[in-house]
Amino acid sequence: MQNEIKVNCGDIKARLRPFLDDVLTENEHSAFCDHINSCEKCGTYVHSVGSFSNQAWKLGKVKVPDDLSSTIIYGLTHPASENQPSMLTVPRWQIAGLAILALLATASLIGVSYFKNQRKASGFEKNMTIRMEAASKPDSSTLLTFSEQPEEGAPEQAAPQEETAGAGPVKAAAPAASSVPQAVAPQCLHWHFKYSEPGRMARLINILGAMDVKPDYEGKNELIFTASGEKAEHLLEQLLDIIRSKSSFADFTPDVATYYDKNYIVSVYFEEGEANTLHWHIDRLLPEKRPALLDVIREFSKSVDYVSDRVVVFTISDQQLDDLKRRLQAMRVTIAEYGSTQSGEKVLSSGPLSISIYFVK
Amino acid sequence: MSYKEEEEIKSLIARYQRSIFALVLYLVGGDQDEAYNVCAESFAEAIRSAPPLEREEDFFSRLAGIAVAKSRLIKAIPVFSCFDILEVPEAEKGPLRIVLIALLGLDFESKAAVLLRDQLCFSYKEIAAIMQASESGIKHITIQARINLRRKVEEIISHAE
Repeated sequence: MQNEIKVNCGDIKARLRPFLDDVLTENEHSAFCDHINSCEKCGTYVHSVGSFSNQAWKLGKVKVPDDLSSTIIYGLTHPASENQPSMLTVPRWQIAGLAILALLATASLIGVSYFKNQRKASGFEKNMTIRMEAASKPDSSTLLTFSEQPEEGAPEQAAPQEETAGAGPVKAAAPAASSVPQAVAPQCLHWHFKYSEPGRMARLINILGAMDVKPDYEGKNELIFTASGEKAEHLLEQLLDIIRSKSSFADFTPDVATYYDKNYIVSVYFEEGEANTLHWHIDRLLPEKRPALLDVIREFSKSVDYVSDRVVVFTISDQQLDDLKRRLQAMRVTIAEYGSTQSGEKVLSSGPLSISIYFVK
Repeated sequence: MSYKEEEEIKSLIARYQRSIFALVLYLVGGDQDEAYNVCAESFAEAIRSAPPLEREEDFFSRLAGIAVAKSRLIKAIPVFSCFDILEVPEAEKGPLRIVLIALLGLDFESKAAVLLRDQLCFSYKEIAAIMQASESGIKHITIQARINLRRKVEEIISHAE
């Protein structure tokens, strides 16, 4: 793939820090590497800066054995198969024994697979994406679903229904009592941190400032900002470095892949005390329903602190909370609720795709 | 193999042997003999199986993939004598030795990700193909690897003090 970006000597200084921090886009990174590999002056300048990436680069300057090339050529002109023993020299009883073992192993696998399929499938599909464990709290896995036949406060699984024209979609909610919330759609990142050191918000804002990212919303215990995928990852790296405890981090959007050419809304939640901040995930809300939903939220809430395409942050009292839920239910809006409602006044975050980070004392 | 073909292959090897040898050297724990064998086998396999009209950057990526796969099979104990073959000024060797010790202490996947990214300048997409993993997974591994590398260096420095 050809690079559309060209880097010349004048660009090196401006892009040096982002290169060393590995936050350039892939095209920029490739163009930058091409230039410093071809321009000795710029290459020397870049590699003289102290950084771990430069140290790793310097470790590549090894002396190669003089005869490696001739060994490779010899290997190409004298393939290894010439020196290997012929299959005919292997005793037949060994071949028969191996064949029988292979048949037995295959039969066992088929049998295990057959009996496994009889059991109900459960759990999450695993992939190479590293997933942080969700904060394990007794109340954090509460999942309330709202169906067409309301049974207030009772978790249930409604049967899936088809979308009807002009009406909001009513779908089955995810299975209840899951410690890992259902994945939200792409382009939102939602992180919870357990981190009780004072000044954490200020540190986070400083890190964002250094990356030239201005927060969209700063609450008491939460921060929402928009950034590219690589900046979000860089921030995550910094936060993990500060916290240094894998169990203190919960990624509620483990399936989101942060590509360099996309922007993401990242919400970071910090929480103190036993109660988790309450989150609602509203799935598949039709765009034409959104203004009405916001009007309803404004009607019941004390204040709406932040509104964007993906996230709404508002404050509501205990007494109004259930009324709001009933009202939204009447609008045929499906809500998945996470967190607990132990405090008198809660900050709620809801939206089509909501991501949060918790800090719990 | 004709003389011309041999010369072309030698030229190809000369362009990439240092990068691949260094990569393999650290992946197998610093054992120069193992690195030599793996490197030679990787080059031979990559050249032998090269599709016609393959671009050179694709060859390099495929070669690195073969080298990583073969290195993964080697159960090596970290050997620090590989430091002797580093061609850097004396003044830089001190800090570099610490980074090398820290690097050799990382697990295989972390080492591979950091080396492929920072030493060989592969894109994350290429690294994902080389290591047969998802791109997002590779990015996470790389971020964590750099964090762990930094921690190990700090530990080594604090022990030395």
